Amino acid sequence: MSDLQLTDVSRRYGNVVAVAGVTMHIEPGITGLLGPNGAGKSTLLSLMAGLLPPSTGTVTIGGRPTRGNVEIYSQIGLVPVQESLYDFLTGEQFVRLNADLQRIPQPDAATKHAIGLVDMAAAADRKISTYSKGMKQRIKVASALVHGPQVLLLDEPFNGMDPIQRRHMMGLLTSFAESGRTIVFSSHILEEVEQIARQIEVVVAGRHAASGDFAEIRRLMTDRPNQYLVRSSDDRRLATLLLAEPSVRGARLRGTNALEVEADDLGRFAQVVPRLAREHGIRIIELTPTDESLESVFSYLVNT
Amino acid sequence: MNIPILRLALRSLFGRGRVWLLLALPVVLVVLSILLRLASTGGTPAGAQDFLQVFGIGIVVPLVTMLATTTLINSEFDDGSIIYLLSKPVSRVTIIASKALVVLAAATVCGAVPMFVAGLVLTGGSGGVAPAGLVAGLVAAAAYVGIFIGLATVMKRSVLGCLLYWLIWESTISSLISPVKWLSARAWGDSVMQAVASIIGDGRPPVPSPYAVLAAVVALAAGVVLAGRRLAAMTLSED
Repeated sequence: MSDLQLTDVSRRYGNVVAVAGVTMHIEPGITGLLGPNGAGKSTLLSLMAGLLPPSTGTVTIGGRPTRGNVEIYSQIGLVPVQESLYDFLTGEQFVRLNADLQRIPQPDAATKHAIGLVDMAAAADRKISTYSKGMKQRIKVASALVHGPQVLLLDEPFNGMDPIQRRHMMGLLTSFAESGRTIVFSSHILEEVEQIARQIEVVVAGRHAASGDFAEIRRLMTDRPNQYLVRSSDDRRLATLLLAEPSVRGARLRGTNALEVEADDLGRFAQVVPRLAREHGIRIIELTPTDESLESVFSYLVNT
Repeated sequence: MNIPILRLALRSLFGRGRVWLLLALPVVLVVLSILLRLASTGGTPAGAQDFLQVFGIGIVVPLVTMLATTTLINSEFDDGSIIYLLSKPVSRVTIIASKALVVLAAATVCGAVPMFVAGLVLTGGSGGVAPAGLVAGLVAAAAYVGIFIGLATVMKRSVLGCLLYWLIWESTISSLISPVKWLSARAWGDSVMQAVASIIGDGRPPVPSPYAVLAAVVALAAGVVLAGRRLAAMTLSED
């Protein structure tokens, strides 16, 4: 009933392709939409929410299209990333506004309940303009939950939250998911996603790069060839020794005082280097991973 | 029309500090009319009409309308808070039409009605200047709402655009180049003013008054429809 289905969805802006040929089937539970900034995560969420028409393809919730059908919004709760909201209202007035717009039968009780869920009862009578970033985020979530939607879409929900707020929000989403609802949230931080998401969809440069549970995604991301730059007291000998190790794919002398190493298995390689150095009396001066940035992880995923 | 949106719009306009700016303009209009009345011994209906056209239709009505439109529509487009209304089971056109209704109400209360009051103060009810001010204020306000909403759909930071449009097109070009009067909210207001007041003063109205009313209604409807279409494609953030 609350399955979210994207079928060959593309979105172009003129000649620029923001999202290209994405097909996803999202079931109840928490799904993380992971990708670097600018990968098209917001565009994808906007397409899921029916705010943006796809150039090609279809998006449906429970078999009904999200586009051209405003009644579908009684099934959807949406938490945008931007902080600008009606901040001349109090928190309670804002949640109540959303309840009224959803035309739910008991808006008062629902408003109280939603505010309680995000633990904002104490500050509900204050104007939103006085809220901190984390409080704004929570009141936005309350406003998206007030009508008990089947599908909850959140754009970068953990942005600007401190660790305690983050844990609280994660607990909230988890309990919401346990009641059989579908939750999709976007993030560019793997650690954030793997903590609560049962399913992870990786998006890079508008394409659906990978899909799986967190263990699969983590393996894809860490078991890729890693590049290191090593400086030691005897680069040439170290290179010879390293090449004998199964975890090392290649070693190349760079100039006269540096060594480039490519290794497969991050965990093994981290043990091999100090052992070899100790056994053969080689002094390691520097060991730097050269492509640890998230972008390189993602670009690796795209190319496999 | 959607009641929660109407209520929200009223709160947005009248529940914040900018309400004083909104109220200051009509107060200035009425106070000026009182001063004019006291200063001149024999105030003519034609003089009163001139004052209402220059200061009422020329300045107060567009400024009040601009303030209300940019608060309720343009700035919500620009900062994305309109998303909270879009993600609800309410049609796009209803959202914009509800907001436009509140803008029109604000322009009536803070623009057209003060023109009526100023007209009464200046003429004491003779020559039909006061009701003419009311009707002309409404027609000009309707046209301005439509035009300002339309501008919000074609430009990113449209508040400045609205201001420039008013200063350059309405206040400068339309008085320099005669045919522009067919496309000027101010000229439409002036025409209705002159037609209703029926004073044989400085010649014919700029455009026929039926055309002026029709043009204002078309501008309003076009603005609402354009904005509804612009809302048909929105993204959550710039990504």
